[in-house]
Amino acid sequence: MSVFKNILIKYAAAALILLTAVFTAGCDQVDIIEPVNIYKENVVVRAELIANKTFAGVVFTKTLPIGTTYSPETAGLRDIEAYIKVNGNQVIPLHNAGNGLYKTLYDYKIKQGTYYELFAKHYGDPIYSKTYVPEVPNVRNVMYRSESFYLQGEVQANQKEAYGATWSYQAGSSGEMEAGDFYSIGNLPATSGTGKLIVRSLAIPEQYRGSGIFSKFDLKVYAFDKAFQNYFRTKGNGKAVEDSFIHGGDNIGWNIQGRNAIGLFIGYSVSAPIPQK
Amino acid sequence: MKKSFKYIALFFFIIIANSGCLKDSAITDVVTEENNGEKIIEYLESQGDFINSLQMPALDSAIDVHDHLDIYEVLDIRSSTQFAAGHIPRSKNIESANLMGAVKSISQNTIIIIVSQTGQAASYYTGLLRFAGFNNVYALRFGMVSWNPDFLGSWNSSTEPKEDFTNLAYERPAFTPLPAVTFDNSVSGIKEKILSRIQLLMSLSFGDPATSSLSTNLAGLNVIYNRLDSTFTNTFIVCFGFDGLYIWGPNGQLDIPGHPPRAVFYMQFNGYVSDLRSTSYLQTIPSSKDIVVYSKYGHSSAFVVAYLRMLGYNVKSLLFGAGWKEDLPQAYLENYAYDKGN
Repeated sequence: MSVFKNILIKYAAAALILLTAVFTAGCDQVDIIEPVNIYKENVVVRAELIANKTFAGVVFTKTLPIGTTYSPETAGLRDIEAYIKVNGNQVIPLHNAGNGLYKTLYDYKIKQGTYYELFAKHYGDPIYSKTYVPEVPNVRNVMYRSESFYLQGEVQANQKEAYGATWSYQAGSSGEMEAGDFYSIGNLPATSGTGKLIVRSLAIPEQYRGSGIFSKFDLKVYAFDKAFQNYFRTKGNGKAVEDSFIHGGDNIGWNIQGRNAIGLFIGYSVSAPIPQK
Repeated sequence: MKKSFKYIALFFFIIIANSGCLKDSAITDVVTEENNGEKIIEYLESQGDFINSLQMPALDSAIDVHDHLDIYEVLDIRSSTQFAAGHIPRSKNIESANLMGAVKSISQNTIIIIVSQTGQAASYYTGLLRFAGFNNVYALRFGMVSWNPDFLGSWNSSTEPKEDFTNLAYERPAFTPLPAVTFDNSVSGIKEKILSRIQLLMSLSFGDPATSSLSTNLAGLNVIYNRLDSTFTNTFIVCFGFDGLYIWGPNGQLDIPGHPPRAVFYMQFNGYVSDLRSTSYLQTIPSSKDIVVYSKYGHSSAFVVAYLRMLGYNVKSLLFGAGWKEDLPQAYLENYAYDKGN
């Protein structure tokens, strides 16, 4: 009886393996990509919601095939239905203002400490995003680090936000000069609810490092919806690969949901320029 | 047993080895919602946002109507009995439910005047017609009351303020979601659905001067006050107009209280701001409460009732406005001839 049982188990297992192998064999197919079909149109969504500033609207564009000259007229989408929702209640429609820009009918000031959602439809396909506009960051202890020529400061941080900093300089009548990018976008460790975080700027350009000038540089601290950190870390992934030892093509950390939709709908706040101690 | 284990291990190896061929599935978990209230606001904003514009309230005076009787089209929405008792020469008697069709049949270059007994019902229907895109429609300010003193008896402002009236400013409440609005699914296209909703609201009767599901009077409001101070907390009173209406007494005094207790002020468009915009305080009007709106004379509040009803709010206009402080203005009262019969 036990011999018969063993044989039965053996054949049942063999049959199961055969069945699984056949079932999954289709996975070996190689997709042949026709060069003419590589282009896939994506909807690109772009919006910055800056605390205490007038909302500039949401830009909806489409990606264009290689070889097509970009222009706002050709890329801007005209058939979007969209609105924003504030803290889950207040509904504010967006209207087509041309070239893919969708704006509120009246000026609307973005509120700090507030959640904003984007609901949109493109030919019936839903697009969604949600962002948090942080409170204007509270920055202390700004100082110049002469060993690497950057400014750093201390910010009261929380888990919902990520932080970056830039140097800025009031260049007389020519207005404010500000670093074009962040050194990094940092946030608290997952275990900390709130706490102090040190943020730093990129190095002040060499021509301004003389003692009379660098001391006039201030630090501006940006508090972002945490989703921005993912974007900042991955934003280089979409660039052309120019180094043989670096592979490209990884995904960029967009925060837009939707079929064939990418982009950023991101809230942030900015401190006033804080002078060095 | 060892052999069985070997087969099971091989089985899992095949599964794992082939798992890489599973393609990324398309994002299907997009957060969506159907928000018909948003669609209505979006549509009305795209049409000029009448309620928050300088066109609001779309009223015309008896003097102007009288001087243009030969070129204006005058539509009287009162009952046939009221019409027979006296009406503006050349005016036509028409039921409010049929107004949309009547207005459609008239050239958009012709000024159309809607007439009711006191101008308040006419304001409600004119508001709806404005939302439908008829920018050539106006309500006769104070209605037949302003046409001839024989109709003055219909104006019923109470001058007796409640003891607990106040000039304290009450805060606007927190934002609430828009009410749920159901569209007529027998028509397609957002414009058609909105026009269908307007037609539905045109078929409701706005009592003027009698109360109705769309209008109440001071006696009705008094009932609400009495309960507001105890257990009845489901009514929200909106004072709509300019800030003087809310705070000041009839002659600008601050010592005579300006508004009922707990009434909250919403600014009419003053050239700069308007509190009923989607970007301002519209949604601080609680969608879960019964709303009573009052304005200076009951015209503007009737327009606001038309707007809020479009959005699904359960709202009434306070007939005769802030009658406890605003007398019927003599400057608007004329003594023009009228016709009798049908």
